[in-house]
Amino acid sequence: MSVRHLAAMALLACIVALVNACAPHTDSQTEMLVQRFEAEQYPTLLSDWQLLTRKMTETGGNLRRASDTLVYRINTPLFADYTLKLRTISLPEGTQANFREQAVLEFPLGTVISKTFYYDTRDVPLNESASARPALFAQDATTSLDTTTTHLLETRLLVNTDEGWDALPYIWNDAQTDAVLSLTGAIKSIGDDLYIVPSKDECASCHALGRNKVLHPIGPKARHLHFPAGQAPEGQEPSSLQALLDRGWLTLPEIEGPDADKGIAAVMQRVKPNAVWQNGSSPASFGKIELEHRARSYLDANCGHCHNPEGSADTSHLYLDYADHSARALGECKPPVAAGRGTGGHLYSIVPGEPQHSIMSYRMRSTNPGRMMPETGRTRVHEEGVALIDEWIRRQDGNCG
Amino acid sequence: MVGCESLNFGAFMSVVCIDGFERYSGTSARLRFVAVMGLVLAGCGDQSSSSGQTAAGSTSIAPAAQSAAQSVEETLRQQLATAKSGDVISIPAGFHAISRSLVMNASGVTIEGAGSGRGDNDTILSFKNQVAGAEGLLLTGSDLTVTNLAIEDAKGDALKIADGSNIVIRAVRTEWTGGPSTDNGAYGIYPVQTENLLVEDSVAIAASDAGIYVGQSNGIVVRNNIARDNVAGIEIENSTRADVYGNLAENNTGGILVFNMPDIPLKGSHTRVYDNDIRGNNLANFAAPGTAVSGVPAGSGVIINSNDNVEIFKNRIANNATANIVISSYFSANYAGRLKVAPEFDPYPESIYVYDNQFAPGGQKPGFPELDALRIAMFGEDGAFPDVLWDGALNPEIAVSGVLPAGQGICINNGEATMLNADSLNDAAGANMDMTNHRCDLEKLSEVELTGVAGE
Repeated sequence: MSVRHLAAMALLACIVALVNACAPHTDSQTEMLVQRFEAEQYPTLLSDWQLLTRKMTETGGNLRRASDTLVYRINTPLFADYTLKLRTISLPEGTQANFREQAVLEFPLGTVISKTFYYDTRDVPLNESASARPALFAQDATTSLDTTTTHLLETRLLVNTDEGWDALPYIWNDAQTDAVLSLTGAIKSIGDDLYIVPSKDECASCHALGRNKVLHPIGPKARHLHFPAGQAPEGQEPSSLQALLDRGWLTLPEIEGPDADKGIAAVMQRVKPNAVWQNGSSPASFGKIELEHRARSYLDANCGHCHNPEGSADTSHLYLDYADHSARALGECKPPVAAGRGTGGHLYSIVPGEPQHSIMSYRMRSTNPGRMMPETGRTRVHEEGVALIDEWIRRQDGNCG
Repeated sequence: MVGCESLNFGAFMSVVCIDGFERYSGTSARLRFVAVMGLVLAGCGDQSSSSGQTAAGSTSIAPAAQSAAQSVEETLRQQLATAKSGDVISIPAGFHAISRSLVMNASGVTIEGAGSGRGDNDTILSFKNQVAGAEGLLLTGSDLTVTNLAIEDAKGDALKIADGSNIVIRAVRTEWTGGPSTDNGAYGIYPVQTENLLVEDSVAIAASDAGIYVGQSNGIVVRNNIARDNVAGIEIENSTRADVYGNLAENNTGGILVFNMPDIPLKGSHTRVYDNDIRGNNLANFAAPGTAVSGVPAGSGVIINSNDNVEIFKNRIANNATANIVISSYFSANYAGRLKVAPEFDPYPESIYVYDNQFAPGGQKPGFPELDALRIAMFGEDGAFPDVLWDGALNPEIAVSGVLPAGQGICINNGEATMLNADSLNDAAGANMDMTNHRCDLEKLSEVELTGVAGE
């Protein structure tokens, strides 16, 4: 199958390339289409993918997105130093992803997923501390970016090849004209803060599963891609799954019975979507069930990619993906295994009712690389996230006896 | 307009978009055309076109060899990021300041320096100014060798190797150069979830948890290493089939630990600790509270905790002021002692065999006040604990009248050496020196044979 696929892809690449090559270059009607490359030929410049291309104008510019991409959103995203994110996906024409209830959707060869990290500079100038940015949490990009009011940091690509997924970090240059491939990551200064671009292999420390550490996307799981009823931000597409369906890039499983014509809605009754972790109100105002759902959704997105039975943090046997785990596996009265000074002097991951004595809260609140959790992806504390988890722990019953 | 419709920014932005696109088309159409033609050829399988493609701008990833100005760190990072089976990554001698974790996911790779000492001809990776990452060097994969280099002052663990088979760590030094401190990283040499593991000729100094920590692994040889100034010198935890020999464990809080922790599927057993020098492990415990080793009393030579089928033999064990050998259950390990144990966890040590060790005096000043009070009560102000200290906890499901079945006992057959049953679960009420049920022998464990490990 892979050889045939490869041949098909090569042919497709030829066709796509020819179409582009033959297009009249001065014609503004020309579509930008995502280019695809063999592993040895990954381009140094992001613009060569034609996926996202910065267009400079006298008034600033914008980020032009290939027409064969779809912007998708995650209901509860990973915290990354208060950056906002533009997520795109592109499937080769004529292909479809297979639906999976719990795992990541099964994407065809040639799928290119991108995530662009940026700061919105309208409300908070770039040289101010990123911790002044939390008000923007729900404002991830829905279409594309007006680059006059953003500062682009990095664009990470995940490319599905016949040898598996590849992770490619591109770092935007200071002039913001293009991004350059850097397998080794970088440390950027943003005002007084540091922003860490992970290396390809650091990407893998979150994006890999199983004994062989096979790379895979994290975000595009059904439960992440669908906003629970009434929770989508105003005026926005409530389901990126629906968008994928509309685009013809997703097949749903057969639905039988009275819900057969309800499509995504029927499927998502089985696959409970994650909550939107925060809606601007204080976690103290949430009912117990709502609080639990939001907290578990937050942990799923921020911790569960490593802390699951196949993830790189399975050494700890602390499991925080949104699956059916015992209270102990979720941290309740669980002693640490190899936390080192990440314990902060505490005995258990979670002491019910006592976030101040819980290792989980301590590590989320730390910014020391040797103590903090997650280990990578942030240099600052996600105050609102910790507040949610603290409240969740505070309202748990029981004691560690 | 087609190319811009996705932008969705309204009329004004659309105009901007067209303007931008025209500019793009005007200035780089030729370059773009050449690049795309390269693509067509490459995509259609003509390998000879690859150089042309590179020249046209769709450059492949730059090779590791860079200008002389590139730092050792950046070169190393590129080598790690592009490593593939068969690679030997050589790091030149020198003191190299590294700013964030070095991470590699690859198999069949050797990472070698010029030496693990402290001189100009050695390779020292210093993480003193590390700003990101929880490890110094983090490797995931199989058939890996790390040799002849030093990792200093990592913010977290110094060398972590996870999830692989056939791992060799040879002549590596991990050290926190300021000496023992709670602010030091947890583990020096830290292989976890490995199979067929060899750690030899290495040095681990001043880890705030364990100098050499083998976790959740199977088929392990740890030999001819030096561990000093750590909380735990060498620790084998939740691991099976381990041979620990020829090592020097000196001036740690505890010298060599064989532990089992709850909530981990792999239950440790079958460890042999022999022909080691284990002396003067009296360093005040500087582990972070809450960690397993924070419950280790200073002055512990060897500790077996909740582990089964452990042999301690032909070691030279001296001057460990709590006891030369401590055998204990989960309940008297100080960590999380209040916790109700999960039903599947066996908190009791069984089938423990101590023989043919050379003991020199220890037990003079136990590291916990309650133990010291017991010492004075039983042996007088100037007295000492015997060579072996046992907490006396027995599994009520298998013990009959306070005695473990044959083959599962605590056997001390080591000349005149005696053992104190501290009866710790009853506040030492029944503490005694009765050896009646402990002068026994057990079937000896077999040697660990590593298969598929380089150099074996």
